Amino acid sequence: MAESSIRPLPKALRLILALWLPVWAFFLAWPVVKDPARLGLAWRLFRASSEERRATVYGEPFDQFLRFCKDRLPPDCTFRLVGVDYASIDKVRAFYVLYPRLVAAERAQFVLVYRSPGYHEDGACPFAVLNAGSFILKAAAPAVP
Amino acid sequence: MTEIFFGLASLAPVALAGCLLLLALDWDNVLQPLERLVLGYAMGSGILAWEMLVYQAAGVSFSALKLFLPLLVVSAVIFRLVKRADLREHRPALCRKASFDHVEWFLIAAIALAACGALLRASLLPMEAYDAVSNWGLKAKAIFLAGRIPEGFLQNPNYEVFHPDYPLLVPLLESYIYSFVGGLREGSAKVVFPLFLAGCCIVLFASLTRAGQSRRSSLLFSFLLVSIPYFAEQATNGYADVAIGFYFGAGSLYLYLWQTTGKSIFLPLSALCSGFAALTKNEGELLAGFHLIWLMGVLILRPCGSGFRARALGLYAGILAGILMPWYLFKVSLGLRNDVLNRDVLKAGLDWSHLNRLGPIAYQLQTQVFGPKNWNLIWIVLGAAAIWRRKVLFRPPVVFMTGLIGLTVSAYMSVYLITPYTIPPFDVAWHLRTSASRLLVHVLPHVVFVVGLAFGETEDA
Repeated sequence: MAESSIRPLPKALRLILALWLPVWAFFLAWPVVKDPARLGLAWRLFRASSEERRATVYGEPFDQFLRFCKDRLPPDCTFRLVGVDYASIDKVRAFYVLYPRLVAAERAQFVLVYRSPGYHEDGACPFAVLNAGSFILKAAAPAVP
Repeated sequence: MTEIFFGLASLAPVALAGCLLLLALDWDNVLQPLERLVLGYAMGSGILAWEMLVYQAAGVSFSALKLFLPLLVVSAVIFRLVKRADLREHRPALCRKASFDHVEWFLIAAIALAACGALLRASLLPMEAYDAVSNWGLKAKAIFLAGRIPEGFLQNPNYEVFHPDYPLLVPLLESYIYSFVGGLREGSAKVVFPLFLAGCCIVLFASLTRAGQSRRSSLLFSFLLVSIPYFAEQATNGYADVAIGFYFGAGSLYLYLWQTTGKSIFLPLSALCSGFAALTKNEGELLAGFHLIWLMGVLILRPCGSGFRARALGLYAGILAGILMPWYLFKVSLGLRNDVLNRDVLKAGLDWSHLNRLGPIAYQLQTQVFGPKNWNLIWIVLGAAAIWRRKVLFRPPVVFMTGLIGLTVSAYMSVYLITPYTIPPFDVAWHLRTSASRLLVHVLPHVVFVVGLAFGETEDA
């Protein structure tokens, strides 16, 4: 028999384990106990394609908007976002997904409008429409990217 | 599962190259097999990023084959040139040990469960967290699509907020995986992070056993590290903090082992890890500087000849310089500078009125201590160790590690005192909320190590 197996654990280690294990197990199990639907979500993610996973995590409407923009915009264009909070995570996700299309703070070739019904800009015309609030405007005199 | 398979397959040649180099370096066969494997992965990843920076300077485009093939060939040649006759002569002590008892089996199962859980979670979710997409993921995508580091993108003022000056180890590694698998498989690229988590755990175990802890005790503290929820979460969300946590942790642990055992392999290992930490995040430069100060402290205190001191310091500084040179040359050529810490920030930030930020900083730190949901009880256990086992923590050699933890946390928190970001919503409180916890991940392996030495069970107990 191994030497370590016949030695009892030192008191300090037993104390740490006795405090640690319940805390660990509790915070591991608590999210699932609180919301059992998380297990179902995990299973759905496990079986989903990468596009479906992104839709689940980003939210279906925003993912749909990004896919719409990606399909319609040429890959070497510049764009600006409207209707997405500057400090939000959606903004950086849009920058990421739409790359190599580049962000331009001024004189962007396209204005991507999200959930802003009735939004219009002088010198820009509708380019593509997803729905009443989400669409793409094209600048009349686009800048060179 | 396909994502995990592709991720591991793309990293296999990189890890193999790293293992071959470590076998060549490890003349006395000091490293344990599993430790060599994770170090091989980490070293291979670092060397791959370095190689890509050299390619960039030489104007060579990136492709998976062009990257891993020379790496494999060079490492195999070095291995053949310096390999001893029979590596199996000196088996590591672990192989001769008795079989595991029930406590050890439980701990091994729990560690494996936590590591596999992190691997699965990382591969299931796309790039979605803030910095994972805005900083690391976006750069990785840009590098992959361009087949090189797109200089125009890093200089684009519209992307300036995403820290173009940040070192590129993680984006380069992710872009290599995209090249290898032939597409933007985010689940495969994210495999790199749980592997660093497993690496932290294995290096901690090996270090604790070398520091005289029993196998059971080393397993227990390795389990404590991997079971810290915040740490495991950081290994799944695509942030680079677990990677720098590994490199900085391993760099410190091997420096400690070099100091206490005198085995020569640990010094270059520490220097390599330290250098790759600096290639991972800007904080790594500071941490590498701390390692150099530690080394100089040991060399001054140790009774040894000036030749030995010069060789040790020269080796360490030389490895750091060799690793960082291509990155600095590239950064300088683009005119990029650190936007958080630079001369202007220091000039404007050294103001007594900024001391009123001490309140939010102290508040943020106390939320860490009383946040068992994120940290379990690690900071409380560290506090207990500082009180009841202060003779261990505050005397040589452990005091070097304790001092490093204190110095790192103090340095990180003092940055919040001078940061120029003061306009809501991106004010100091926002920065503290979103980044202070992550920065503490960098010292977590150190903390568990000193707690292990304070409360653990020694081999001869």
